[in-house]
Amino acid sequence: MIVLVAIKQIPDPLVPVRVKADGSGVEIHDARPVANPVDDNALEAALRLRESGAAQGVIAVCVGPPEWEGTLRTALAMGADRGIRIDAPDALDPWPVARLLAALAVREGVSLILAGRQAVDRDQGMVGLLVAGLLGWGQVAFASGLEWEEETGRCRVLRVVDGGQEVVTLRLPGVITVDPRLNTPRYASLPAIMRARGKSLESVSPGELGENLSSDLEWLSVFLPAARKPGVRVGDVAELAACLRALGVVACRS
Amino acid sequence: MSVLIVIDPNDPDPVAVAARLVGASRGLAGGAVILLVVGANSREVAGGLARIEGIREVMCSHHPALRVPPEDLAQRVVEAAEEEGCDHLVASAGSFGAELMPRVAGMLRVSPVTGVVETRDAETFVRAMHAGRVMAVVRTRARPVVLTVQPWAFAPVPVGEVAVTVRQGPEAPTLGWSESAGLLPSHDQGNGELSTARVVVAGGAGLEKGGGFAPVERLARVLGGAVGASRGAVDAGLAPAERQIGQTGRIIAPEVYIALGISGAVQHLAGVKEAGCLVSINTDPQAPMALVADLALTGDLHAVVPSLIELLTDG
Ligand SMILES: Cc1cc2nc3c(=O)[nH]c(=O)nc-3n(C[C@H](O)[C@H](O)[C@H](O)COP(=O)(O)OP(=O)(O)OC[C@H]3O[C@@H](n4cnc5c(N)ncnc54)[C@H](O)[C@@H]3O)c2cc1C
Repeated sequence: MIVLVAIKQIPDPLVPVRVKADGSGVEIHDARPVANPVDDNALEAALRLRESGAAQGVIAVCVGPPEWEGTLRTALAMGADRGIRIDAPDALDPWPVARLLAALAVREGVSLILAGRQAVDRDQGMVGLLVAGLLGWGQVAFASGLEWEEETGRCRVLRVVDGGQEVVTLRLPGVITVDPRLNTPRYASLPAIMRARGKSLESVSPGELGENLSSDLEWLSVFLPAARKPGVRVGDVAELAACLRALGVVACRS
Repeated sequence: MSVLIVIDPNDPDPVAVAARLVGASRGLAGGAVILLVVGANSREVAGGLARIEGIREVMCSHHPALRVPPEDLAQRVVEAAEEEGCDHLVASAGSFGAELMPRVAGMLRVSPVTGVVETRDAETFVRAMHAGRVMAVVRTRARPVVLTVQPWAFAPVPVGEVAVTVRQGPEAPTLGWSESAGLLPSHDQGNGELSTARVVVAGGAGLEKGGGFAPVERLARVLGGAVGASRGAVDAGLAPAERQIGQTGRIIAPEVYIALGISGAVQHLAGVKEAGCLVSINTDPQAPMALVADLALTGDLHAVVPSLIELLTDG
């Protein structure tokens, strides 16, 4: 099987974000661009599938401007076989991103798409599952464990849901979105980074995939959430207990 | 003009969640509200749902599985929506809706809007981004409008005595894409359900040195609350993954949230910033959780928790 890993480049999520004075968007200063952290977990999972012999190839794909090529090169240095950038502006909505990824997956004969459960900048959590719906493929969301079962030709996935952890088997072709708990992504070694610099990246235009960039969302404005009112420092446990009692928090009779 | 709300029959309290989702849909088209529930246990759940006020009917679809695969579920949602000509499709923003609704939207070739906390009008919504540090106002031109909604952000409608009609929903074939083997048996001492508990006691990496999560579990049990965890605690193996609160975990709004040994990273705060009263117990007075908390106590949780339990116990 060929695995496609969708990777988004985002500003370092640990750097503070500001709202622009006119409320038209956010500003993030001096943040170095990084791969969306959960997408690295998706790439790691794909590389492990290839190393175990289950996958024959791993294609890392970004839907973004030329400035995102650094992220694709890092993916190559980590071990992806090919890096493809679908040319698009930064901050494209998930809906056109999903259409472009779906078209590319079909063109490349991919049978498994791995993506992060959400990009931690806009936190929309939809690209991978939109692709599954568009293509009519199977899907598993929030994978925290992933194995290929040779005998059944299915993926065996552990997923984190609100009530616990669920075991699901998935027939391919399919889409799996991954949780940060799935694995620990490897680091690219220095020699691998040097080698990846020499490798060529592929680039595809939306037109070549028979797609456009149209979206049906309009981002009207952004604002800061209401600040919580200042709290109080309690001096000791007795004072804390009194405050909690005033809120009706007391021990239940057991 | 109608709204279709998809309910998770396996939710510990499907009626409470549904009542809030119905509350959220009041800000939408103003048309009829229809609830859809699918699964082997859909009949039992439908009876309770039918008493929620302000809905027209409950559609109930049988499926052989207790945990219905998202592919089969999405198929039925799309069929029900087409049959009723719904212009809004809604589910909770918990893991159930977060997995289902983007697929439904993909099948309908529209963009969904996820994590809605406020409806401005039938097509304009407010949602959080960047780990809750920024709120965005987004308008959609998509029809139908596909939404996931944070239940805690909306007041529930009442649940009355009179029940509306429960009728047969779509009976699509099973597709056989994915299949659930059920939930892993859990060693979880979590007591209550995170999304409905009035009090949540959560622990962080600060519990690693003192021998584990027992103080968190004990305090939660005594207070009749649910256990939560930071990613620091989950990564250290102190708590199961499904207890994680935050940007990549659960987003909740209990009346009281007691954080034991949690530093309060933005990714963690993203999950509790709408809680009624935030309580921090931390050795570090400068920890972000201590700075943002409504009640902050500087101290070692291993000393604080036992005396707190004693002080909160009568007689
Ligand atoms: C993309 C991304 C997504 C993330 N998503 C989440 C998420 O969903 N949820 C989440 O929680 N985190 C998330 N994180 C991680 C987050 O950034 C923090 O690393 C994490 O929340 C830290 O957990 P912690 O507070 O338990 O640990 P630490 O930051 O190590 O804090 C431990 C605290 O315990 C205190 N302490 C130690 N000993 C004691 C004692 N005896 N008594 C009292 N206090 C004590 C210390 O003073 C300290 O404040 C995410 C990170 C990234 C990059």
